[in-house]
Amino acid sequence: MKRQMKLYVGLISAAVILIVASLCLLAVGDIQLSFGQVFKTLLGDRSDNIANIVVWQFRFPNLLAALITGGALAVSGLILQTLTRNPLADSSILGINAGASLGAVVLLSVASRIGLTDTSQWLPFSALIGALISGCLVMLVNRQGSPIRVLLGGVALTSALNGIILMLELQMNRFNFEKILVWLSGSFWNKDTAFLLKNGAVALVLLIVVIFFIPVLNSFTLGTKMALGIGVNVKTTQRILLLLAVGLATVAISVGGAISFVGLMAPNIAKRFMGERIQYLLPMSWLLGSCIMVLAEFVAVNGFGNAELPVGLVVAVITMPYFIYQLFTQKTQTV
Amino acid sequence: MSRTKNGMLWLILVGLLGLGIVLNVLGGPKWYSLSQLWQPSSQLIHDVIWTMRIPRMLASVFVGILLAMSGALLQTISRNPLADPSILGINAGANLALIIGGVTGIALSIANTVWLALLGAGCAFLIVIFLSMSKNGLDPLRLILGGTIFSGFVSCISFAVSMITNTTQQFKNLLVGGFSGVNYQQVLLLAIVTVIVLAGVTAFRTGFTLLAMDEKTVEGLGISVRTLWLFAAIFVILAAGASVAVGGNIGFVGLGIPQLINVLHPGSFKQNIGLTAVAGGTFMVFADLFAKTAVAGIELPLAGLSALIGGCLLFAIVAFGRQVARS
Amino acid sequence: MAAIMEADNITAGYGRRVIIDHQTLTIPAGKITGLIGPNGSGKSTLFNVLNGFESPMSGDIKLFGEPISQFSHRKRAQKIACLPQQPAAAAGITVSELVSYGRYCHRRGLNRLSKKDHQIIDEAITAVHLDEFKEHIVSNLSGGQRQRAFVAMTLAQDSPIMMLDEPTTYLDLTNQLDILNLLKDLNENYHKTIIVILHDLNQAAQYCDHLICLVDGEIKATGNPTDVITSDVLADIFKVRADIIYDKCTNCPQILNCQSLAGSGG
Repeated sequence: MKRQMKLYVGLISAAVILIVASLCLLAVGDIQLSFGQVFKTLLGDRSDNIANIVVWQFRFPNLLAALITGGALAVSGLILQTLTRNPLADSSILGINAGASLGAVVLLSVASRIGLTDTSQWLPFSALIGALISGCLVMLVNRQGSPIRVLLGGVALTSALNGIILMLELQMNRFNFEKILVWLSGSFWNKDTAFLLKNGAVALVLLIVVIFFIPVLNSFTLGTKMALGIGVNVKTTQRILLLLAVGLATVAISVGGAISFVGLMAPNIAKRFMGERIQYLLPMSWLLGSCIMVLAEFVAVNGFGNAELPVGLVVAVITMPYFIYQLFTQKTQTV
Repeated sequence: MSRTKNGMLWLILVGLLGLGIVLNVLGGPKWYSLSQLWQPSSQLIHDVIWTMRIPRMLASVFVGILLAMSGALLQTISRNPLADPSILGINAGANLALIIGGVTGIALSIANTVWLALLGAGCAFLIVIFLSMSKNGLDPLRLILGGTIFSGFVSCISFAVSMITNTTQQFKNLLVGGFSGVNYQQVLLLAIVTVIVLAGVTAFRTGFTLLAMDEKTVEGLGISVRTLWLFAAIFVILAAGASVAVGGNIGFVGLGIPQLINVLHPGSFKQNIGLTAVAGGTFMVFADLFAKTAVAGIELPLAGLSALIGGCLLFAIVAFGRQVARS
Repeated sequence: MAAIMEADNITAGYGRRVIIDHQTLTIPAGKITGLIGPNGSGKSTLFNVLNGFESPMSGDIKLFGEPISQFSHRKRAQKIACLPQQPAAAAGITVSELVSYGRYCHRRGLNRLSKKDHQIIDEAITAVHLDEFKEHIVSNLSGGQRQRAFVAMTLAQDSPIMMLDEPTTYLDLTNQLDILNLLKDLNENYHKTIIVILHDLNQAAQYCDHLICLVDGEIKATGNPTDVITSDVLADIFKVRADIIYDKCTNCPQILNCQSLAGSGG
């Protein structure tokens, strides 16, 4: 029972941190608000006009985008890590991010050629196609069942795709080049609430589907042979889970560009507190992923004076120390 | 049998290199005929050939040789067929140093570029090695993964720096990579580094070959692994730093060429290093030719081109090869 | 001798490589069947076909008289519990959590473990004598304890057949005997039909009721240990010359004074 308590305490503290970080994101900025004002506005009080506009118009979309991307990337990372039995897998390392980015870059450069201006509704589709192709390619490598091969295949894929992206983006004019560069390093490029809500709904549906696979994911933590032994239809569930992971990553990418490292870090930190129990890991990863994104967004918006950095860069910078720490303390090899 | 095959390969590669050199000089936005080389029909053509095309050709050959050799060295000493200066973040380190240098107001003259690039490459290499050390020495898998992630991280920082300081255009130039606008001073620099690295690798070739075995065995043979490591690291940093300083971040030559030679002619480091160097030069000279002539009016980015080719090659090795990493 | 599993004229292998070529065999109900044979003889291939992990290239496998291909993964797992070689435990989970994974094939959707599930899990842990380690982390246990925890997990599947791939490898002698005695106990007191791959011929002879000896994908000998472990079989198949003595109490054959015949062209 004591163990159970510890798990719940972990989950609750992560939730509290997330809530506090979210409130900070809503309250702090060029126009300072008090937590009281934020609370009142969130609860539907419209009397404070400034607070109302600042919270709902300016800052809430940021928060929503951070929650969608952080949670989706973290859960996608958790699934990929469980499937490949490798703690260093995530959508960015396996080349899925690069695939989605390529899809987006292709769309943007085609759009600018044919004079299409509104690309936002096509973007998720082109990103999904790119992500699916690279996901399939990575799984082509995975059929041999060696985690190292999968990782290296992802590295190779990322490099090749980035090569194509680079060639395409250098053909663009300066304006588009910078737009793409910002997108490629991860940032919330479209803060239209309707767009965000649509993506958020998709992410939510995917997350709910993932919940039904908790027992299967648990069995995968024992290896595929063992999973077969206890009656899991490994081939089919593996495919479905891969699709789910790719789908979640795609949603995150179409909202926030190619943000890496969140999917790697959040499940790993969660594992330290929860052990490999997917039923706890899943909510914990989601919470932590969202926390990382909210904090990163907070730093990106407020940390550098007037320049707003792409949030993906901030994520990379704040998660790197953890990665180094993990490489150092890893007892066994990642093989 | 193997001897004749070896000779054949040498012959083919050197022939190809010669062909590439000639074609590279002749090719460009405007193709010249062979006779223009010794009988230029106008002063302009003479100038174009001698002040633009020849240095460019030389630079591409030298950079190809340097990158291929540094890749072969890294692969041998890390006992990992997938090592390469761009994978390990060494190129990215040199890149970052150049950007920071540019931002802090150091004039990017040739001398400054070189020491900045070397400094960046050296720091990055040290950090990656440090990260991948485990209790039992260097862990090949950690080296690759740590290097890849570190490399991505450094690129992120480069971009952040250029973003904050509003110098994305400079960043773009560094991203492109290529040899247009290379001058004789840079060629001279590359030539010097190439000679140093070639001489050093020749001098230590037996030692480096033995390093491919496991560390304990090498120590047992009475060889100082540490000294060998130090020299190998110096050569790798010199080669990668100089290449980045001149040609920008050109990846994967160091990975692909040694692999290719190993497929064509399986052999030890000692047997293959010469072939690898020549093949590297050949590849680069043709890649550069392709970049400047494939699409009329545009220079294709060499960095993107090499990442694409190298990435596909690596993917094929990983997906269909038998052995990937010894661990 | 009632057959619980039958394999009729099966061919199996990996990719295009045929390893098991047109073999027929039966597994007697309520017995411990040992699969023995030299390295690379196709034991694992046969094992993975019998338990339904892989489909045979040709031929039929019948489980309780019905083709195994008609069983869904869940239904199959309710009949056969399988412990692969060297199972890896997830980091940080406890023995009882590990054992609860064995209930997967009896559960639907996200339902919590029922009272009956908990009871079966507890019984399984008791059967392998790990009661006091119930809440311990699996990866912190000793090799023998960990192996017993995995046996408990397969036990929790509550299936009539248990299959184990070299369950004694990498264990010291005490723990090897521990596991084998446990299997014997499960066979006698829980009436499990057990199929086990074993390396040690003496242990196989001592603990199994029925042996199947494989060489190069072919079943060379099958039957009681006394029929299978003979000096002819040893010389032909394992390329060793040895004396065989018979245990006074149980009359099972034991091998002594082995000499390799491989070098002398035998």
